[in-house]
Amino acid sequence: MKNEKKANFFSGHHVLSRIGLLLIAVICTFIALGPFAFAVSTSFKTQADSIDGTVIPFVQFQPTMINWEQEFGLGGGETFKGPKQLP
Amino acid sequence: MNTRAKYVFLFPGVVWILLFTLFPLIYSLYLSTTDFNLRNRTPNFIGLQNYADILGIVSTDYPGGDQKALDTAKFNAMLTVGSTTLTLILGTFLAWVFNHDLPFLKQMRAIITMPLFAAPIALGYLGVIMFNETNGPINNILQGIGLQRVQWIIDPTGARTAVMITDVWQWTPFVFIVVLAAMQAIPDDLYESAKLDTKSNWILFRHITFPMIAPALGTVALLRLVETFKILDIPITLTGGGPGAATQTYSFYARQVGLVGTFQLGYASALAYLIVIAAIIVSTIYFRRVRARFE
Repeated sequence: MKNEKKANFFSGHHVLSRIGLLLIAVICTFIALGPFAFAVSTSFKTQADSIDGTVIPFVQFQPTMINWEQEFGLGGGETFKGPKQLP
Repeated sequence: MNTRAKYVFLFPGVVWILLFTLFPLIYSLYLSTTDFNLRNRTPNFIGLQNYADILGIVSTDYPGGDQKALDTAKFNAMLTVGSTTLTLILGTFLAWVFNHDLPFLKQMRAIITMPLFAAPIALGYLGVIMFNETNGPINNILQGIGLQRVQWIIDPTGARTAVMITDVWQWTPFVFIVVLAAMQAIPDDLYESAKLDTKSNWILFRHITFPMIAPALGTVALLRLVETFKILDIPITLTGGGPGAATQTYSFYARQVGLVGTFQLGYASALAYLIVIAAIIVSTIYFRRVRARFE
């Protein structure tokens, strides 16, 4: 069933337009996923690192578990003292 | 016996509605006709003076009406129209793309609906880092693909755009889900018979898909209108209403008048009632037109 579907996808005379559609779908998926991935990545940063524009752990910045430890009450210091006061 | 049980079961619902829906509605209507604020504590009845002040009808305090209410209402209207239109167009387009037979469709569909489940407040605070001007990922990506860096927080237009982008990003999946469901309910026979006459995707969309999804689009449009009409959480967290008052929405202003600083609850109630009246007018016109068309 699945193989049939894939064969269907990569054959026929609409291959190019279908690849275009797939490309659009993939780009939109990444746009939807991006901020979540960034939030997860930021959760492994210290407060000082959090606005330095890096994304990839170990390569660009040294990840820390301090926020997660704080969140689950396993110790760790509060590195980010909650949101700013609302206007 | 039977009738008495009925009242027992009705009781919680009635109490709930009286306490949390009807009472605030009527009490705020009463407040809007007074000059109540937390300093004088004793509300004095001043009739429709608050409404006259806001609209600038026969007022001595505010000659041209409340300019700030007008400005925030203007921005709110801009945001409502822009955001609703964008989400509808993008959501419909995405639904059209996902209505094709593509690989990994289910996985991508699940990921695309994720923004719906995020809390707007959290998104606002995430946006503070995302839209950061010097190091935020959005500006970095813009520079990476050869575009100008945008001043998202400092520049009024940029801040307004940022609020709109966040709102559109969060609510496009909603339109997407509803419209996709409507599209999948269209029988294939219609397309098959239409393909005998035309090869153009646009004609197929215009004459088959669009009429069939129009009722769903109408409902979604109304929900989106109401939702962005009273938007408060994203501006308050993302920009804090700034720079200046550029991204203050109408409900933001009502909150600022009523719950911050001088606590002019009477005036704020009048502001809130005006938006209720506007919403009722819009939705009545809308429903009348939609009914005339689809029933």
